[in-house]
Amino acid sequence: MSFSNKGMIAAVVIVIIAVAAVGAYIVIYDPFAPPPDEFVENPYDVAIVFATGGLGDKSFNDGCKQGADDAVTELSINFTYVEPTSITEYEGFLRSYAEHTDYDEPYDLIISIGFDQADAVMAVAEDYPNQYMAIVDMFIDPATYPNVTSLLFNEHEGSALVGAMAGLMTETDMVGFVGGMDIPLINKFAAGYVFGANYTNKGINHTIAYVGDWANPSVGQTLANGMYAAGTDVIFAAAGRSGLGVIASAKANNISHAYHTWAIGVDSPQMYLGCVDPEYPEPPTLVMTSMLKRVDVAVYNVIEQVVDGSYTGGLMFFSLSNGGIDYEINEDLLVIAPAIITEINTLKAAIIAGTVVVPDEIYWT
Amino acid sequence: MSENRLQDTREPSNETQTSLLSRIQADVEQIRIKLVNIAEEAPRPIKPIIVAVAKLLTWTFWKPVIWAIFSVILAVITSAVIMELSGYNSSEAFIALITGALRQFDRVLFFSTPLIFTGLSVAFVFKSGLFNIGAEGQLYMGSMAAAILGYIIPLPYGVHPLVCLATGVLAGALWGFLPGLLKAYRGAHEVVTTMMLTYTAILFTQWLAAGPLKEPGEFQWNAQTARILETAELPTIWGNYLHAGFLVAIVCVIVVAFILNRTVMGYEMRAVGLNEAAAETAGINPKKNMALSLAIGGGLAGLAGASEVQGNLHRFYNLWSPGLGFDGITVAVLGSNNPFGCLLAAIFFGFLRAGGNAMHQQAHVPIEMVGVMQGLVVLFVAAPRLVQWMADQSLDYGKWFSVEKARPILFIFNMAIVLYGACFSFSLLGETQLGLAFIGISAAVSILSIAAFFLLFARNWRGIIVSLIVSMCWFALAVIGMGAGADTGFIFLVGLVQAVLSGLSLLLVKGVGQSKGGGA
Amino acid sequence: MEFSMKRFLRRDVIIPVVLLASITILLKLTYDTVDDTETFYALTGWLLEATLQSATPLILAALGGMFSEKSGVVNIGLEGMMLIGAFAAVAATYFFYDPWIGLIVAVLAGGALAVVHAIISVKMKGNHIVSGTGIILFAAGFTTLMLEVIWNRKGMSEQVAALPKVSMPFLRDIPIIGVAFDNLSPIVYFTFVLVIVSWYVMYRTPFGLRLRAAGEDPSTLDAAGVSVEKYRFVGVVISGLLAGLGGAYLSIGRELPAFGKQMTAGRGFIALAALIFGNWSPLGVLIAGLFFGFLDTLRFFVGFVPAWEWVQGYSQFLQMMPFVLVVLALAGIRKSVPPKAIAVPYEKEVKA
Repeated sequence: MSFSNKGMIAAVVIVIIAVAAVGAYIVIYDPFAPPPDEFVENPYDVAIVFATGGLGDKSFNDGCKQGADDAVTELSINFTYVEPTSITEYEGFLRSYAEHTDYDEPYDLIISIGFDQADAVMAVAEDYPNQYMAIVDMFIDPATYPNVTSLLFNEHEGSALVGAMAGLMTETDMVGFVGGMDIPLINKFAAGYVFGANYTNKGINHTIAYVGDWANPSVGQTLANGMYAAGTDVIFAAAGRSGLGVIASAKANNISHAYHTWAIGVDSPQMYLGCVDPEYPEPPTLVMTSMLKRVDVAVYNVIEQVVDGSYTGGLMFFSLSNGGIDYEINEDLLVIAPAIITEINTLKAAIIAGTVVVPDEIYWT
Repeated sequence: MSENRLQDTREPSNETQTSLLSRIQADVEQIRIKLVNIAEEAPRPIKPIIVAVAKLLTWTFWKPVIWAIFSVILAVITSAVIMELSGYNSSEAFIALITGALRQFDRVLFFSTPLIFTGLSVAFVFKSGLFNIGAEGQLYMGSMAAAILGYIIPLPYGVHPLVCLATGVLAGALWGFLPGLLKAYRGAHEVVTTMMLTYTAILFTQWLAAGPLKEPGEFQWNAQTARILETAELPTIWGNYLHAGFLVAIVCVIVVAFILNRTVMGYEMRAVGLNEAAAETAGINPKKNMALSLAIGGGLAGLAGASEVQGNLHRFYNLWSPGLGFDGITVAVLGSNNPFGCLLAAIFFGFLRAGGNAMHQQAHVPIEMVGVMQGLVVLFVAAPRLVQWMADQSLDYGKWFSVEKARPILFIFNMAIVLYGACFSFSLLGETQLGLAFIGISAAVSILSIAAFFLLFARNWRGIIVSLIVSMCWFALAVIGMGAGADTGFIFLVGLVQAVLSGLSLLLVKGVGQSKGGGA
Repeated sequence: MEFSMKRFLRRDVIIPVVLLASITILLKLTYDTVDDTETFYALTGWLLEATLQSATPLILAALGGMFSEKSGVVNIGLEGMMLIGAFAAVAATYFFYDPWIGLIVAVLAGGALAVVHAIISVKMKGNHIVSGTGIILFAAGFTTLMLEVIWNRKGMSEQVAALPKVSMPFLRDIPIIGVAFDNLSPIVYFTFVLVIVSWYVMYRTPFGLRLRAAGEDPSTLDAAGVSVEKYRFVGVVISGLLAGLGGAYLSIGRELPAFGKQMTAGRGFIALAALIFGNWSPLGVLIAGLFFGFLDTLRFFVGFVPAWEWVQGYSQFLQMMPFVLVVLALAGIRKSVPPKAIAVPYEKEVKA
């Protein structure tokens, strides 16, 4: 018997068996059948393109997603998102959302999360001038691209507040900063932090290190281990998911040090992450505070503008004065001495009033 | 093993069973011979076409095609099972994938363009008996070279893209030539050296893009080079995505096929690939050919990088490639190292990529599912003997079925319930509240069920015993689950059905299986 | 056998000596730039700790690779097996609230993926490289998919319980050692035990002899009536078990016990480099793994020494070192002897 016959019969038999088995499984017992989609009134469609490897950082990207989730419940929008694996995929995803218009109903708003999407946003915004877009953390000139909203934050102001708290809480007079990348955006955090620490504790020592990656907690942890070993006792992590490694390191090092080893969270409230079990936060926590950068508010606001019909494009600034930037106090987890809170609030008032100007780039050499 | 197999006393009558298929094959063979005869008398321009058509009708051509299709089908079935077990709707996902890809066919070709190049690269090198798993590194070097030349030197339209592409080829070729030399003259295994040089290239280009060649600018914080000049860009030829790199890729397919099949160089390389020692005796220099083929393969991978930079990215980004070089291996494997096969395989993977986006947007299945499918395709293609084995077994099954009816039918039912049980027990692994023993037995059941399926499929009577053991496990699960307060009626039912089926099979089969023992 | 001083020096001694000498010089230079002894001790201790931490998964995976390659099967799927190990460790710990179960499941998961590789490359005589590529692709896609299925998250899973650390309070006052060994995972110590065990198994037991014979001279082994397939199968499965353990260390062995997408980040390939650089021997693998771990740590270390901050601009070259060294080693600076029958599927001769 020649081989061709074998192959043919084999193909037929195997396909029949496999299809029958799979089909039977699906038909007879489908334990995970998804519930039918609920009918939603007012279906505004929003698409979000996240930063590469960012989701799961419990700070910046998750904060943006939180904002969109809030909009889903409050404004009953629909929202889809995608998380590209490489910087080169941004434009493709943005374009595929934008050209959805060609054969389906259009997305009412496309939000880009992160500064590195600027090129892609500009390219797509130029080709689809009627598509509303928004970008977080990057300035895009509204004169050239009137359909793009830039959501910008004064991170240095909030960083100065947590720096001030670090300066007051440190026992070794050494504070540290772990940044995601050595770029002006992150150096804004560093400058504010060091300024704040020096404001309350003149001549304090500081160490600065960069992970070089937003999604590598083990490197963040290695860097923090080194800092704690060298005597630093407060580390401010502005490194996305890598920052979680810093918090983990604070917890591990606290056991072997005579003093507390503190961490400071970023963007979202992260104090609960410093507890023994973050799922059921109970005091004590080793994250003394967090610099709150309310990206959730920003994302929610821009979606609300679209739903209201008040979308204008241009710039939206978030700072201490309008509550888009703040620092976290969580009395349930950690009680900080009232004197310290008072001093920080004085600094906050001074910054809002403009009597204290926080530098937004590295001012020391 | 073989003495336990159920064998038939009578040989099945070959004529009735295979007459249709063999008749078809004989007819096809006759047509082929006729075509060859016609070709000999045909006028010159038509002759090669007729010869090519005649070639298409041979079994040597169809064998890899059937294997590839078979592997794809198996991969699709397996990934459908994975999707269902993960709680996604697989039929919806596949429909979204197919319609999404068809709606945006320019994207399909766009995604497949770099894969054609890297697939050709791997396939070409494979023809000379080497394995180029470093296409990724060559691609990075090629793209960096093209990006640098694209923005540094202003050249007129028409010339600039060609110069950039040529530089990309050159850079990739150099990066491939190095391991080629090491292989030829130091005996360093090319799998290791190309892989190590891949990571070296990625880190080196990263340093360039983040350091000396970083694009200046106040708001420019990424590790990327400056945008290439407009003169160096490859134009878009269809839709929003597809650029002229695709045409270059098609040309490359034809050129590579020509080199391999019609030139002395290609002949020598294939000879080295088939048998190095024999080639050397025949006066072919294997060292030269090895180094050269890796260099050409590197050039093709470099071309992939250059065309992506010029047509799509317009600059070099740090870590831009989502593993295009590694995907080249899968393309070459699925295309069975034939240039035209690579073209089709690349389009298939491009189809998956483009459809993957639609699948994600419409059926909410993560894009990573495409990666799973790709991995499964490769695993199935990598094991041609698995396909062969399954083919042989199904064939024997068919024979058995033609001889007698009761036992094969019982076996088929048993196989179905065992397969279903494997899926069902796998889904039970999520019920962690029922305790460690429950999960442990569930895991054991799913593994044993798969084993039982293959044993039954091989008509080995031990499969029935395993199936019986599995049914006992089902009862145990039902009891444990009941103890933990869950409704386990369905589990009990599955166990019961399986116990009855395997018990019946055992009664019918046991004696036959053992009595045939000594014969084989 | 005649003892050749020259060969002895070339092969086994000269490289460790050179490494140790350069590390000593480096530490001396650090001591000169950092003014106070306290900081120097702290930094050096941290360097040692971080080296051990980043070397552990490399050594484990490379040891695994050794078992596979010694038996004649190339295993480039180590990356995938580590990834699935890291994932399975977190998933099992998440479901059973016990990291030790997670550890066992991780080892088994690595082994299960290795069984697939073994079936394809040993039983089905498929191409080892192709199969390994498939394993990597499958593991990368599958773990990310399951991340979303189990935790409904992208990027990173929920945090689970970590393996308890081995704390050594009595060491705390000793300068460098105190920092380095205070808070290490038990897997780190276990790795050293495994290196010794592997050496014993490989060179002092009949099993090891047969395993090596399957890679060096399969036809002789077959003639002796031993199944080559069986030994190769076992070799590959052991490699998966060890790679799974290495993956588990990455996820539940360190301070942040969670699974991140693609968290192995090419460590499987560095492990392969360590295997080749270590000349396919357990002790060589240990030294190469420690050295590559040291290089990995060094790029962060330079950031803490003010005089060396400029090196950070060239950290890519430090990361490149393992790969470049392997290419140089294969190019002939050092003799590198892979098993003879590696990557050659063994076809049993048909008996007449």
